[in-house]
Amino acid sequence: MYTQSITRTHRTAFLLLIDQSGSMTEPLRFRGRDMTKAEAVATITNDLLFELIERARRDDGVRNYYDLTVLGYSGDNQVCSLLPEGRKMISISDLAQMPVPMRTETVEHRLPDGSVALRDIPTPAWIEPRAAGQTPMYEALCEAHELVDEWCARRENAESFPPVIFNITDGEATDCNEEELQNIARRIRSIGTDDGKVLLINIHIAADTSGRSVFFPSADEADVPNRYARLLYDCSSPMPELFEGAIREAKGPGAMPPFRGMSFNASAVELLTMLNIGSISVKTE
Amino acid sequence: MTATLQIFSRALQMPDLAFATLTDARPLTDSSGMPRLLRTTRFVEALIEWQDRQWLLSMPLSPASMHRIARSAPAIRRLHSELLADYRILPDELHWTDAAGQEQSCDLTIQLLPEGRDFEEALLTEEPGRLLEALDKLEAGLREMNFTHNNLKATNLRWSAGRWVPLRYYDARISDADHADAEAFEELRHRISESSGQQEIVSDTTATYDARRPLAGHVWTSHEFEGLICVEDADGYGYVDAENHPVIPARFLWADDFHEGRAEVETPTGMGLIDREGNFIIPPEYEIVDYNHAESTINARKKGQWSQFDYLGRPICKAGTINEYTSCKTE
Repeated sequence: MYTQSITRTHRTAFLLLIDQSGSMTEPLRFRGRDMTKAEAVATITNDLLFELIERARRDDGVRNYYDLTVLGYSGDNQVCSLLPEGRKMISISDLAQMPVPMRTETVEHRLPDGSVALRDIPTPAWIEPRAAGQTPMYEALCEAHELVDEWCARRENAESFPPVIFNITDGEATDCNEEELQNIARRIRSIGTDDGKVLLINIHIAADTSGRSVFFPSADEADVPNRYARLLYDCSSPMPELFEGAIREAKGPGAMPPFRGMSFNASAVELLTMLNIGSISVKTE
Repeated sequence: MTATLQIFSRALQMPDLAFATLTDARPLTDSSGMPRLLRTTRFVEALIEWQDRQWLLSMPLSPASMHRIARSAPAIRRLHSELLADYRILPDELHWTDAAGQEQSCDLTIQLLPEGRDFEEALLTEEPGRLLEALDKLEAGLREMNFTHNNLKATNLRWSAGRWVPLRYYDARISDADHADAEAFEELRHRISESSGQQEIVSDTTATYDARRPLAGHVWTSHEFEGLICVEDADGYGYVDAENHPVIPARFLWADDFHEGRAEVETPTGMGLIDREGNFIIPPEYEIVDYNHAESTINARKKGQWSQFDYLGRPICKAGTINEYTSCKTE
């Protein structure tokens, strides 16, 4: 399970669900800088899109390794596609061919002596920070459920690595209670291909005075005061055993499985470094 | 720990902060200023300029990718062969802070990119007989050294100074029991033979044509810097973008590559400094204009006297108060 290489004949899908509700205007400290939650969410989303495109890039261009969905949820139960022309799902090669808005990002780099250097660099910005209205996360997860259900049902995807959903939020859903949120998450995680069930990764953005960040937490790390973080932990996919070695290596000594597909004030982009994206040459392996 | 491609990309944009050795390296960028990345099966690569030469910088996509190289790279260096391009591991070269705030580092590999052309360009500009002969020599030479590339293909060969130089030794082996390249050599011979008769004259100075991609219609082309490529046309020197669209008309007697948004140019009235739109920051009325992009200062000489200007062209030192090698900052 979860061993299928992601290739043009065995494609997969990535779904990004973006919380754009009014609560995302709240300030927080993220990657050492003060910003709004909305800015942090946009940063994480753009990081994921950059990584997905570049991992599919070869000498003949960006290969058609996966489908992509980016849904924003906000307003009065509004769930809408943030992709060009409002398309629900496009291939990564199609996205790579579209014009990319660029912006200047201030990047923090910690020097060996502990001091911090800031540098302005150009960076692609497919998604702009946005914050308005309510948090229809349940509706967004229902939409994602439909999309992955349909995607997995297609014959050509039967043997593929299962879709991965990244839900980036501050956790405060306004259109359901905790039980309903857990139920829809469970239904999503029950869908799959022959290679495994859909992975639901929750990226939780929250104001936290300690400035700490956690990714792929184990049970003891999930014991945080923020009740939304605990709920999202429960909704997230347990990470397959296959990834445990890579997660332990990424987290450092002392990390003990089982891990959950979740992060707290951190991107979960590290997951993409663990996937086998691209065909393995017979000659080279 | 494995870095993401974005960490690698950002490091290339601020090498002085993120690299241990390559602090003054400059990546090849696209028109938006982003480094151009290329993925292979187990590495991501970027073309950089460092110490006045071009290199292929590679980051492993997993720690396992480095294990094989860790054994082969030192052995390849010990061969001291002219058939192979300089290739080495840079231990703990890339530094970054991970999602949990921990300091991380990883090894990179670097390979010298010999001046020359890629395979497809060579097919268009060289006699097939010459290319085939050079391929025979390469095969014999590698066999003599017991060097097996294991992934020899058109994109992993460079035509340089009348010979083929193999690149990307990620899968290379040095073993007398292993000659797995024979089939690849046959395939390459077939490609060259098929191209017979397709040669065309790219320009009247083909010997120095060294662009990464063929840019048609120019007498000479430089490499891409900050999204612009200096070209020489019949009317003089100018700049085009990566798609060969004119950006700054070819109106200069001479022009240099762009560094930090500035380029030295020469006109009939003298040397000057332009910005990316072709506007003069330093008017073209000097005998010499020497732009120091590391310090963002410009030393310029007129009637034998040196002046210094800042990045925006504002005078820092009056004429005659400094010489070619001094700076106002040291006064």
